[in-house]
Amino acid sequence: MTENEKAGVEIVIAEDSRIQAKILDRRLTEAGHRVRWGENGRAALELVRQQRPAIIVSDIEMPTMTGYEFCKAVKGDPDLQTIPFILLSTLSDPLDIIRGLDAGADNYVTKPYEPDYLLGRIRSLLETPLAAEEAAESTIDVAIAGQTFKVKAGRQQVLNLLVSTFENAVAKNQELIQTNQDLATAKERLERNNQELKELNEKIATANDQMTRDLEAAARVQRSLLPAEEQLTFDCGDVAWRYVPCHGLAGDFLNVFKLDEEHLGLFVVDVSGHGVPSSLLSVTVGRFLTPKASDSSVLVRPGEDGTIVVVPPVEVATELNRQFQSEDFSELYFTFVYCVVNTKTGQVRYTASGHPPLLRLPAAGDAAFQTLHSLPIGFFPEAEYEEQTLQLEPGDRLYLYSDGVTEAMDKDLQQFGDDALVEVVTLNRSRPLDAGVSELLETITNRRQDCEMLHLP
Amino acid sequence: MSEKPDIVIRREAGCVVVEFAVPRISEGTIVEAIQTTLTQLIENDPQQKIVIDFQRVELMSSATLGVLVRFYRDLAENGGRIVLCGLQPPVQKVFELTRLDQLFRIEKDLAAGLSRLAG
Repeated sequence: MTENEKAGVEIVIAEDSRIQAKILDRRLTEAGHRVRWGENGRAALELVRQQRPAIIVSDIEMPTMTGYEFCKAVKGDPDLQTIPFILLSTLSDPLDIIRGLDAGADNYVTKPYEPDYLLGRIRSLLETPLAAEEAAESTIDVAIAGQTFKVKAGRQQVLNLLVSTFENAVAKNQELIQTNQDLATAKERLERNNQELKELNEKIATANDQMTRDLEAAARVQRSLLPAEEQLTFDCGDVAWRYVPCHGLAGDFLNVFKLDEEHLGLFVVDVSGHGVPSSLLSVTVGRFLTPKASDSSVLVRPGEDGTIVVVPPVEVATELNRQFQSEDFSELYFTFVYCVVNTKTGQVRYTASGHPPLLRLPAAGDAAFQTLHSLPIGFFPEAEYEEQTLQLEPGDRLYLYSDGVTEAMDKDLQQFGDDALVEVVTLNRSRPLDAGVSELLETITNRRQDCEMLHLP
Repeated sequence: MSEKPDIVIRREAGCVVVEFAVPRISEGTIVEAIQTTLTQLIENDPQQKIVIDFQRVELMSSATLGVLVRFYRDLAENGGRIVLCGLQPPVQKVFELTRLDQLFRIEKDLAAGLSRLAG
């Protein structure tokens, strides 16, 4: 405080903005100076004349006498001309310097200014007082931008002004350097973010690859539920099948195998929905539909003396329904058609649970659907299932399929339908079984890609 | 939403009428939308009388059956009632094949469906 009081001087400021004036006033007062404020050049000039200040700080753009005019008035008055005059300028134009010189200003401070910087200027001006005799010493002609200015300036004044201009340039330069540094920092951050993004993308790509591999593996597991060969020959006749999932992972599968020495089992399972959940359920169901007498098989069970008991189809459906209630399996359910063929007698016991009916094509005569309505597996624990019997004669064919066959749609959204199925199998009745199945598949593939089927002569 | 809604819900004769206003109910978003809509109906009032109008549905996938059966169970457990109506032959066939025509009350058209629930 003592130092401030010691250094404190009288200062007149000219500033038309009340807020700017207040800020400036506070800064200067805090530094120990005594401040008087005029809201334009004329008012400030009055204050200067009333009582001579040690220094004047003036804005340039003001109504009723600008900063230049105010400065000129001060510097033109022999009594006042030695008062140091600081112009607050934006210095956006080289002419500002000339105008300042012409007006006789001693110093520039560019706006917006740092308070400490302005206080420094005030201090240095007070330390190098202007000599009165030097004030109006010489006149210089300066031509700039097509205009000639007669500048009446003392050496000290020119020097002060040049120094302040140079200091402003240095300050501006430092700002630029700082800005450049900020830019460099921002750039570095950007590069770091880019790198992180790149790494993240790589991680996603890796995860994606892993998922694709997993899905492929799952599809392979699902394939393992199917018979090894598309054409199978048993002592009672031939079987041919095709499997075309409409999505990479399907909930559908089929199988055919000997249950014991006298029985052949055939089934098609169609799990609702598609994708991973459906395919997982189909794999789980598949473990129950195995001809190996084990704890899990619902098709056969060990009898006495090491014999194998073939479970009747209706019991198979009932047991599956007991094991696979949809509430326990994410609301997934499945339809199921299952045939047990007696290979000696040609008798077929079958059940269908919400599944499209078997299609029987006799050696001679018209094809006929073996309709058997019942609930899909998994809807109701108390559901009851039925079983029926049909007699196959030599040369007869029996078709098992999923709704992917009959509901296959063409581009006009027309379903393949039961009639088309009957037509195609009837047309191919004299061709070998496997060729007929291929033909049927081709016909459907031209519409939509999902079908599986089984033939039995 | 300027698009025509796929599922229209309105009150009529003391019932909630749910109209599936799309020609094809296959898998994916429409099935999910039906599930969401029906779940909301149950949450609002599990004892209401509901008519589902299939008049404009030409084809329906089996995936929809699971949703309808679950809805039926939830409603039946809470004392609500449901009638299906306006089933086109391909849709009717799906219900017959899965024997769900025995489970659901099915009426020829909306008027018949409403009068069935009026009693």
